[in-house]
Amino acid sequence: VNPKRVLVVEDDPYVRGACVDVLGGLGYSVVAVDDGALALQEISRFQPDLILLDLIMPRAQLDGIGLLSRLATAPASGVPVIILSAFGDALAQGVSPEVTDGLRIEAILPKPVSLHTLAREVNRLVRAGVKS
Amino acid sequence: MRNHHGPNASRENATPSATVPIRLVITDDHVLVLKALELLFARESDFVVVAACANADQTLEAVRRHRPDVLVLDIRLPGLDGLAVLRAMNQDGASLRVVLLTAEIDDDQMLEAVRLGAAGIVLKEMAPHLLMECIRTVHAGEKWVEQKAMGRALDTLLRREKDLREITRMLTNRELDIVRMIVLGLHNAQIAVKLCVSEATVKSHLHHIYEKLGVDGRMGLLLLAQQKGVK
Repeated sequence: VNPKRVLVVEDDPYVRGACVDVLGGLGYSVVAVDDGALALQEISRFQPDLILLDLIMPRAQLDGIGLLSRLATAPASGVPVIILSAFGDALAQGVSPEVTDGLRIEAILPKPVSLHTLAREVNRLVRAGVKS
Repeated sequence: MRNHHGPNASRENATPSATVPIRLVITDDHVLVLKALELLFARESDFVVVAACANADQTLEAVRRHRPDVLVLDIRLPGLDGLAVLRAMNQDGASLRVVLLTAEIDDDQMLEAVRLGAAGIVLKEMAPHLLMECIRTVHAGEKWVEQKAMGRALDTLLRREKDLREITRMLTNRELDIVRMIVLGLHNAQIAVKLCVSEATVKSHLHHIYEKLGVDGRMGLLLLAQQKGVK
């Protein structure tokens, strides 16, 4: 059975490394990048089943907000996304559903993220058949 | 762990230390404000001001030299403003926590500041103890930004980009170029020269653009383009 593929887009090296370790340990195939521009390339190449996305990446060419906007209309739209951000509340409560209707935001996890919660949410989405 | 971040956040996770003070660089172009801030921080045992700056250049130099824990930065500065300072620090690879202290900030500026890495935003009209609380919270690795305003700003941004994408899908590249030139205020003759076509061709393109976008003329197109964020 081919492992499910998870793309991690996170500029904090510690969080990124922890995601790779935890999800890799659970048997997922994981690719991690620190920039939305690189993520766009990986979405085409790696074809993830799930994307973990940090919103704020100040040094990135394309940050998480920019990538989210692209995903709303990109060919990869339909790939489920888990948002990792301290601004999850703002996204969940402040943004109208019509603005994000091209996206599949399946979960919003506030930072600092509990790795246990992260693993649980990823497993839950995969079990639910994020991409059959 | 606290999930709610913002001006109403409690201090439960803030960790002021009696032995290792939080090292601050503070920046404001008003000498009186700068002096008042220095006095305020001097009264708190867990803060030490390592540099007080009046402009962007001094701030960038102080950050390079002192490597503070937190930068307290005004947005409005002579020359480069506070947002430009954040951009410059990102280019430098500087890694420190930033609190914006500002008289006023609109939603767009707030979103931009957060995207550039600001972790806290405090209005000057707020009580001084909130600034201290914000700095301690940010120093502890958390955010201090009003979530409702952040949500509004995110909604506006994503809506604008969605509208822009819709326009982009409806028009050809040439038509989009013409709309951008209209936004810049160019006349048909100027557009014709830039595109190396006749003025009649520009008019023909414009006619198609009006039809596709459902506007009744140049002013309608201009308003729509500005509203949708075409640049």
